Order: sequence, then structure tokens, then C-alpha cells
Amino acid sequence: MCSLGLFPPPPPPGDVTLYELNNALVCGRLSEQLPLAFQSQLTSEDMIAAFSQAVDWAGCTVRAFAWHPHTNKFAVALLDDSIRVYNSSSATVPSLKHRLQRNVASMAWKPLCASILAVACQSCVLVWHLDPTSLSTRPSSGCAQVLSYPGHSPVTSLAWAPGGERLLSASPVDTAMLVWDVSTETCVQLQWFGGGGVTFLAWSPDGSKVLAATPSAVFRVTEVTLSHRQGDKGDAVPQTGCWSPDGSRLLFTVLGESVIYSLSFSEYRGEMQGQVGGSKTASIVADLSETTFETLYGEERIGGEVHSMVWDPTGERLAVIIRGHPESPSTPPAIAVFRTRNSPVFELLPCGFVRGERGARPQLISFHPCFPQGALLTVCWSSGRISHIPFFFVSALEPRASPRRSPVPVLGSVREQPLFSEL
Amino acid sequence: MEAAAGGQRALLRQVLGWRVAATITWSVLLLPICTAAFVVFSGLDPFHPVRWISNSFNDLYTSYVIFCIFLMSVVIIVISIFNVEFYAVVPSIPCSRLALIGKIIHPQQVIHSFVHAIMGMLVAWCATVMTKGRFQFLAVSCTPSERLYPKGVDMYHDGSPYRQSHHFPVQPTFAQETDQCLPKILNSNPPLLIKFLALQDLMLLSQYSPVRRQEVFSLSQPGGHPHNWTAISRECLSLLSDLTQRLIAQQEAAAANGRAKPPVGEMKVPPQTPGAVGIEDMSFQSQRSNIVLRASMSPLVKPSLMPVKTSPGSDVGSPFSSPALSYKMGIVDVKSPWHGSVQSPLVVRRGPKLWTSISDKKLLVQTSADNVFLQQGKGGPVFETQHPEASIQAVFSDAQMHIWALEGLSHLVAASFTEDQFGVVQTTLPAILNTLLTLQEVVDRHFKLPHVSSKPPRISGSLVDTSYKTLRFALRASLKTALYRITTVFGEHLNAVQVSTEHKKRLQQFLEYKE
Repeated sequence: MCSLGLFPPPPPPGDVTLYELNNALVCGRLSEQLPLAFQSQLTSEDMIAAFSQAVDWAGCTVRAFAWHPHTNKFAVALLDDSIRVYNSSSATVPSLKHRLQRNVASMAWKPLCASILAVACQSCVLVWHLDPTSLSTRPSSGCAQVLSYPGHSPVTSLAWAPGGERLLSASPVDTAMLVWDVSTETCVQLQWFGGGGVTFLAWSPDGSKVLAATPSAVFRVTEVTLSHRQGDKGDAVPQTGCWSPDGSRLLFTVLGESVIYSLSFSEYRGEMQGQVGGSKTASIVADLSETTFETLYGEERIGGEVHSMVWDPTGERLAVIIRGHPESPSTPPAIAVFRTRNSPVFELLPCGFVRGERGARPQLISFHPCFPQGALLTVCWSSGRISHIPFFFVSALEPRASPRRSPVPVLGSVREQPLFSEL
Repeated sequence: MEAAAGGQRALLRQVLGWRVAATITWSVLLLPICTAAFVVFSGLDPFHPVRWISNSFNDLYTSYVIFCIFLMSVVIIVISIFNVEFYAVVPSIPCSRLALIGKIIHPQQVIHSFVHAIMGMLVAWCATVMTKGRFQFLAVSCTPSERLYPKGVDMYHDGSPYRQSHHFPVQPTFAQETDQCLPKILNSNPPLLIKFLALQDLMLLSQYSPVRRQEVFSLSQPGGHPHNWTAISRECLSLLSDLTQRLIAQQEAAAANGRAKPPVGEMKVPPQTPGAVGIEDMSFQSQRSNIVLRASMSPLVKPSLMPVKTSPGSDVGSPFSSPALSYKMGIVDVKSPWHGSVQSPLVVRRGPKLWTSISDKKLLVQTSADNVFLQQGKGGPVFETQHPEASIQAVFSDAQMHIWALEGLSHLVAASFTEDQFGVVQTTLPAILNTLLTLQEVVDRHFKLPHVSSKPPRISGSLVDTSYKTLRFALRASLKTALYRITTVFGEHLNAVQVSTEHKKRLQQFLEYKE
């Protein structure tokens, strides 16, 4: 089992994490530049060339963040209930406003599509149909479809099916999840009894399973097959969860505990199964309780409950926001990054801590869905900055069948490190 | 031929049989429960509960209640028989007021409504008998809900066994299953219900069943031909190109509607064949004369009767009456396997025109008397003007088939990137991409017509299934998703596929996520 004590010490205060190179996180001051060897590879993408830059938010707090699944485009929801869409290949920044768009909790881009964005608002779900080639900075409200259902507000979580056919929406007030067919604006309720509303939705990347977390001590994993079976797993209040890329493993954390659990599922083979396959009990894979690090700049205590967790699409890096104690300033929230591997055996190894500017607390983290040179972690800080931290590595798995991935030449030698495997 | 038709009837009986039996059984089993509930609640007496309950239970065992139960089961069985005989998988949408009236006074509908009326009277009589004459009317919970105007009772019943999918084997393991395997079913002309179920099964297997996908991509023994894939792709592509032609025809009709009617002198159509206007985009190939006319895709050019004049040497009647009209798209081999199976949408059904819904969308210029009704014009009587929303829905009324064909085809192509061991899909990629891109262009153009892009008003709380009204939006969305699915999986490799230059440009738009 991995724990925080195995991590390398956190970087000194004032240093900012710049990038990862072969399992080591490199920090520095903001004025430092990348080694030249990398710059020649990165100039093709603007947002990586500006990886330590902030976008000028001038005091706005970022509320929600969503990367487009196929291109270098992301949407940010701001405190003033507007959404901005940033595109690396275009200078215009469309700003989306709608009278029903209030208190945006979550956003999700539709997969297999150019630019359709679903927004979870206070009273409804708004689906924006943006023109990808348009240069307008204020798309009209007519571009937005309003999907509302009585009793289903506020909507706090959205998840598109990986094939783009269906949209799931969840509200903590409604005991039913809604499955929307966006083009015909119809929905089907997936009711279950007990558990209260639904607070968190996560669809596995292969489209076979959906995790739904509820405020009470029940969460459900629904296997989306020919006949939509449900499985109850667990008797704890889940906080957040994420799936491995092939849908065979679920990592989740639980309210009140500072550990990461893992649940594995057998592969769906097209046969009718009596229940959701997989192991009956979850195993603990990481312990994130408070640990004290003695550094040159003083003592640092890091640890606590997990606020959110994201896994990159190659399945190699796991980033976690550790909440820490808001009362005591000596345990600030931190981002811990693990190295992971899912096959042939699951491994969770430490990588390092990600540090922002002095005094900035991490708000949102997200991995870029298709970064060709490893992984790209986007962090939205409380100061309004959004930083993109690249992780350069060669994926340990065989290359996916995607012609856009180009292997990165490995510079330097791999350091020998003792490996800690699952105990 | 006989065996195939007989085999299909047997399959239809098998598919339909258990559903009908299940429905009837459930209805009859629930009947005593509903009757008991009715008797109990009809004698509701909140001030004397004990007497109410005991009276109700006594009433349940009287002879007339049992007789009424028996009579109502007979009613249920008769109605179910009528349902089976007159079901329709695709809603038939009347497009003009005249067609609507014609639909109502059609003899089949008259008998249907008469029988339903008698059944209704019987049930009402049973109800009054059971309540000992205290109430005048009744709402029966277990007979199917009647509609305001009689039409063929369709398959759109909510949670009933009609909705369950049927599993068709791809590779027959037993000799008697050869007629029931999926490729054969799709290629023959099965009853509409079977075709719907087959396409739904194709859609499901393409997404969820790697084993059956392998069977689709397999080669035959000993010849090594990809029969399964050829049959499935041919049928899906012909369905989609048929829809393309229908949409083009309707666009032509809409374009011609705004222009003045051409004077009679220009019409050189002989009176005995039904002519069709605005087909200059179709290149038709007559099997006898082998004259191929290539035309460019510009359907909104002023329609004229040019094709009739410019088909040198071929009989004017033959291209229309023979079913060998095919739509040539891109670079498709003339001898391609599916050129013969494309049905012509221009062959107009003869006979009473009052109740054809799809074919009367086209602008027919005829001199015979019974076609005066179908001319679209501003000065015509009120019965003749087409209801725009209804005519739009009519074109897309069976679009669910096309949606399933699109999803099945695109999922199979996407899966073939990693699962196709023999490369059977690669040779058909140009035809598939051409068909999909052409259909997408035509659908986009169709949505620019008036009324098409506006959503029909939603009536909440209605029990009737109105999903057919929004099928065109679902079709447009799933068409785009199907194209993106293929371009996302193949990526830059698609540049090696042979397609026409303008299709190459559109594919590049898809690759850059700019569509």
C-alpha cells in the first residue's frame, strides 16, 4: 500500500511545479524556461508553450472546467455565471451567457462531436450548440437547448456516454438519474429507492459502467449492457471516484477517511451475468493520512481527506487534491500525483507534489484527454490562475490505435528507484 | 422464393407469436384482479366500511360478475386479434386533409372502428351490470386505450413485450436456421417488423458483442468470401441511399412549389406513365439500353422535364416503370452488388391515391382525372393543401430503421480498425463514406427548408407515443455522430481512402472537428 511517507519531500514554498520528466517533478521560479530540447517539440501547441502562464481572470474564481475530448479546447465557468471557451487554434474566446445559466456546477463536452457543451445549471441542463468555425464572441441564447425536468434541480453532475448518444444528469435532490436523448429532448428516469439524490456520476471510458454516488452510505455501479443491471457496492459515503481507461478498475474515496479504495470489475464478455461482476470488497491502495516532511524551509504537514481525484486517459498518472485542514494554515491543500499501472497487476507508486504560487490553493484538476507526449494536468487555482503541467513519459502499454500519438524520445536515463508494489 | 417467403412467415409467426400470447395472457390474468378492484371501489361507502367490504366480496361471487369476466376476456381476445392483424410498425401519417378523411372512411378502418364500438358497448354493459346500474360510464383499465380517430394500432405500446429485441444469429449453426440468420434476413424483403428487429439487433451487436462482430467479419469456407459483411453493408447502404433519394425528391417538390407551374405545352410526358418532375440529379441506368447519365448534385436548380428529353434512344416509359433506377454516388462500380436492390421511390403506386402518404409528396403532373387532388398550388381547395409538418414527418416516419442502420454500420467500421483480421471492411470504406457524406449533405440541406428545423410542440401527459415526430432530429444527430466515430478511430489514415475531392474536403473538416 502506498502512503504519503514514501513521497519525495514537497518543493520549497515559492517554487512552482513546472513539469515532470521521467517520474521526477521539476520545480522552479516562474521565469525559468524549459530545456531547449523540449521547446522544439512543443511550439506547435500554444497552450503548452505558455504552460506556466495564467489566463487573465482578474479576480474571478473558476467554478467548473472541462476539456474537449478530442481537440485543444476547454471551457471554464466563472463566478459571474458566464462560460468562456478557449481554443488553442483560435484567438476568439466565445463567452456563453443565458438567463437560465446560474450557479454552474459542472460542464461536459459531448464526445464524438465538434462543439456541443452540456452545462449543469441551477434549474436545468443547458446544451450549447456552438459553431466551431464561428468568430463570434457572444453566441446567442438560441444556440442553447434547455433540458429541464420538474423536481430535478439543482443539477450538479453530468456525464456523457463515451459514444455520445446519451447524457446522464444527476441532482442531489432527485432520487432518479435522468438519461437524456438530447436530439429529441426526451428523458428516461432511472429510479432507485433509498440513497437520497445522486451527487456524483462517472462513466467508465469504455462505456460499460456508470458510478453513481449518493449522499447516504450507498453508491451504485450500473453495468450499461443490454439490460441495465445495477449492483450495489459499498456501505460508505463516497466522495469522488474515477475509472481506469479500460473500465476494469474503479478508484474512489470516502467521506471521512483519508484512503483511496480500489474496486476491480471483470471484463464484460457479452454474456448475460447475474450481477455486476467483480470483486465484492474494495481494497485500500493508498493511505493519505497526515505526514510531516522535514525540509530545509521548515516543517510541512501534508495529508487529509481527498477532495477530488482524476486519472489520465493513458492510465499512468493519478492526481489527487488532498483537502488538508482549512483551520490550520500549516496543512494547506495539496496536489499529490501518483504513477499507476493497471495491467498486468495494479500498481500505485508515488510521483510527487504539485505546487502553485505562494498562497494559492488548488480548486480544480483535470487531465487533457489526448495529450500525445504523456499526460497534461490542468490545475485551476484559487487565485484565478489556470496552469497546465505536462508529464512527459512514454506509456508503458502498447501504443493505442490512434495515429496521432507520436513517441517521445527518452532523454536521460531512468533513475533506479525501489519499487513499492501493492502489499 | 416460396421457401424464403414461407420461412419469413414462420419467423414472423415465431417473433410475433410469443409477444401476442404474452400480451393476451397478461391481459386475461389481470382481468379478474381489475374486475375485483372495480367492484370493490364502485361500491365505495366510507361511512360503512365493514358493510362495504363484505358486500363487495359477496358481489364478486355472483353469477353475473363471473359472466361479465368471461365476456370481457372474449373482448380482450378479439381486440388482440385485431391488433395482430392490423398492426403497423411505422406510423402512417396523413398529409392533407383529404388524405385524413380518406383514411377515416377506408373500409378497413370502418370495420375496425365498428368492431371496437361493439366491444366498447359490451364492456360498458358489463360495467353497468356489475355496479348494479348506479353509474352510466366506465373507464376500463385493462383494454388498450382507444384513440380519437381510428388508425392501424401500432407497435408503440409503453413497457409491453412488443418492445423487446430479438436475437438473430449471424452465423447459422443449424441447417434450419439458415433462413433466420441476420444477413439473409436483411437482404430478403422481410415484413417490416422483422426488418426493424433485425436492424435493432445489428445495432446492439455492433456495440456490445465482440463475438458476433467476429462472425460478421469472418470469411466463408471454403471460398473465402466475406458474405456476412457484404450482405449487411449492402443492405445498410441501400437503406441510406434510399432515404437520400426520398429527401432529394421532397426538396425538389418544395423547390418547384415556389415556382409557377410550367405550361401544359412543355410537358411531353405520355399520359399513361406517371411522370416525375425534378429528377435531373438522378442518373438512371436502364438495364436494357445501358445508358448512363451522370449528373451533378445541385437539386435546387430549376426543375424541368429535361431528363425525359435527353435520354436518347431509350423508351421514355422504361426508366420509370422498371425498378432499375439507381442513384450513382461518387465512384461506385456499375456492377456493384447493391445496384439492383435499390428501390425506386419514384414508382408511384397506382390505385386510389387518397391514402398513400409517402408517395404523394412528390409533385405529380398528370393529365388523368384522379390526380388533380395531388397538385400543390396556391389556388386549390382547402383539402388539397398539404400540412407541412405532417409531410415532413411522413418522409422521416421510418427513420428509426435508418438510425439503427447508421449506428450499426459505424460501430462495426470503428471496431474493424482493431478487430478485422481479413480486411473485409477496407474495400467497402469508399462506398460507406460516400453514402454517409452524401446523406449528411442532403439532410443538412433538408433542414434549411421551412418548418423542418422547428420542433413540434410537445404535449405533456399524453399516453400516445409521439416519438416519430422528432425522428428527424435524432437522425441528424446520429448521422453526425456516426461520421465522427469513423473519423476519430481512423484519424489521418482516412486520407488514403479513395473518395471524391469534395468529400475529401468534408472529411478533412471532420478530422479537424470543424463540422
